[in-house]
Amino acid sequence: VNPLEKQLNRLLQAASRARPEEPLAAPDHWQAGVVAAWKADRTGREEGLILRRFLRQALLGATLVALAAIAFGYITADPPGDETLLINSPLSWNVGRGHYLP
Amino acid sequence: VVELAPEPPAPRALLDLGACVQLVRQGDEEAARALTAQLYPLVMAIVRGHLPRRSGEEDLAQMVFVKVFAKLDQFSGTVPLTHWVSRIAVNTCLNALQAERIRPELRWADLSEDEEQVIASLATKDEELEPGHQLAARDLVERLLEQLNPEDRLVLTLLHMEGRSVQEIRRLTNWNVSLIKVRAFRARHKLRKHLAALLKEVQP
Repeated sequence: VNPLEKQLNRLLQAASRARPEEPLAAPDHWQAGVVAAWKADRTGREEGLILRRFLRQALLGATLVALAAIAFGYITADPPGDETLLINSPLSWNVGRGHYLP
Repeated sequence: VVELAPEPPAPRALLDLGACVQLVRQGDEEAARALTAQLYPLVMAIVRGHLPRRSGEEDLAQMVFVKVFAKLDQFSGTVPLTHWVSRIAVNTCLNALQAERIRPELRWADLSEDEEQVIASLATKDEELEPGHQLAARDLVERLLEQLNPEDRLVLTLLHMEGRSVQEIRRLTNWNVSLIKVRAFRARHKLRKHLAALLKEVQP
């Protein structure tokens, strides 16, 4: 066996015999800290869940409104070649329903 | 006035871990506290064995518990809870080691007096190190391991310092057996090189 390998073995054997001290019971304040961190994490998750649900519903609502607007002709796509999008609502500054800007 | 001798601490009641897990899932604080107390020695032993030099063991253990509680819904119960928690603890330590990017080179001048004696003893004698040198040997090995990358360090610590089998390491790390063996072989080779550099100082 390589002498260096022997030396490493001796070192590792000695090191493994020096066991780290056994952990004691968890201190009360530390346990309280863990539980508080868990609660904060749990609350954060629940709030995140509520926020995500709200955003999902808002997105769904906005999509439905947009689809309805397209179906009723309030939003029209440009003719090919023109990349501007026109909103032909009665309140817009635009020229009116069914017309495209030059 | 008769002084009463302090009562011996009552033996800790064995906890029904399954029931406790169910209660924690429902948000029961007392159950969370009981589960923390029950798993503390296990988590702390793992954290102490793999602690990066600049981390606080209590902070790291707290991180482990927060992860355990956050992922408790994913615990299927097909493996014992202690195995599942051990794996989370080992992965958390591995992540902490990976975050500790700077691994300064270990030089002779950095060694303590006891560590120098360990090196001198290794260089000059053939027998086992004296029991009085075991603690210094452990410190020295930890310093040598710090110079390896986190995965190499983890595998050698589990294998040589904690005396775990390859199967146990597979369960803890989810690495396959071949990977563990190859990684341990290469890590040992690197460790030998670092030790050789120190031994050169006493036997040029």
